[in-house]
Amino acid sequence: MYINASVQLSNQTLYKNGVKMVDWPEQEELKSLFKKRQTVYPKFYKMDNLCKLGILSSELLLEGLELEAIEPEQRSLVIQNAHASLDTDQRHQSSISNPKEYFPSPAVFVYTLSNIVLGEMAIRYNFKGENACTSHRELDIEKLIVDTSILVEEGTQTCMAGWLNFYNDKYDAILFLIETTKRGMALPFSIDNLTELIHK
Amino acid sequence: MEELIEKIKIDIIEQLNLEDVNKEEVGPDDLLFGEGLGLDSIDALELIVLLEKKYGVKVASPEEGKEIFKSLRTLAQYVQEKAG
Repeated sequence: MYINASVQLSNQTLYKNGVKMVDWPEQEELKSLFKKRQTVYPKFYKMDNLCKLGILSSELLLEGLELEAIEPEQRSLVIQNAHASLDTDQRHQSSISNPKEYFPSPAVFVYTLSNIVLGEMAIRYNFKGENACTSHRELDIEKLIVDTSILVEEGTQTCMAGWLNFYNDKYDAILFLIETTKRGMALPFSIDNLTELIHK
Repeated sequence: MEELIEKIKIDIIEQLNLEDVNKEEVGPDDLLFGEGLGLDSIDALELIVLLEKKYGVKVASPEEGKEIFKSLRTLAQYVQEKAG
């Protein structure tokens, strides 16, 4: 197994394959970052922030890579985060907390589950294999390796694995493209290599 | 009526986060769903909330919704009729 690509995206920096690409002086909004890429995907703007983060990070991770040779059922997702869907849960809560102004938004409510982001990524990039979403205080690399390895044993050839967290306008994404064949960075899939790619 | 249609159009674009839609290109008789503006089932629910929240108008049955949500004009006609 190989780490063929990586992306780390936060409010202020973007790293691609371990190399710093951009440093924003001001905190950058996900919507404006997506607009700058000129990607046509109207659904992006209807998503909650966690899903926006998932789509934008995936877009950056997969750009320039061909996936056609890999069956959609052999493409999997392993995602961890700390705040689950709390950011959206609180938005929904605020729309129903006042009985006199009780107007829950269906478009907000549908995102009040932490694994919806996996569904959005699966739809957008045709990842129809298994997926796993777990919550941790911080990225648990050992668990990431265990979960990804289990899926590979069961037939996965390509896996987007990592961390997607959004809470109170602060976002943090670390995604790795783990594959059974070499391309791109082609680093052996190990704790040391994964750790080295993460910028604290 | 034209003023109400314009107001509803702006509300819909804003409420449904239709970022890529140019409001000048949406006509009063364009279809809101399917080949028109391309709204989906969640958008339909969101429209029901929008009508109640901003215009105080309730849509009682889903069957009724099919006709009401056909275009901006049918929506405006319904709002005008119900809001009195």
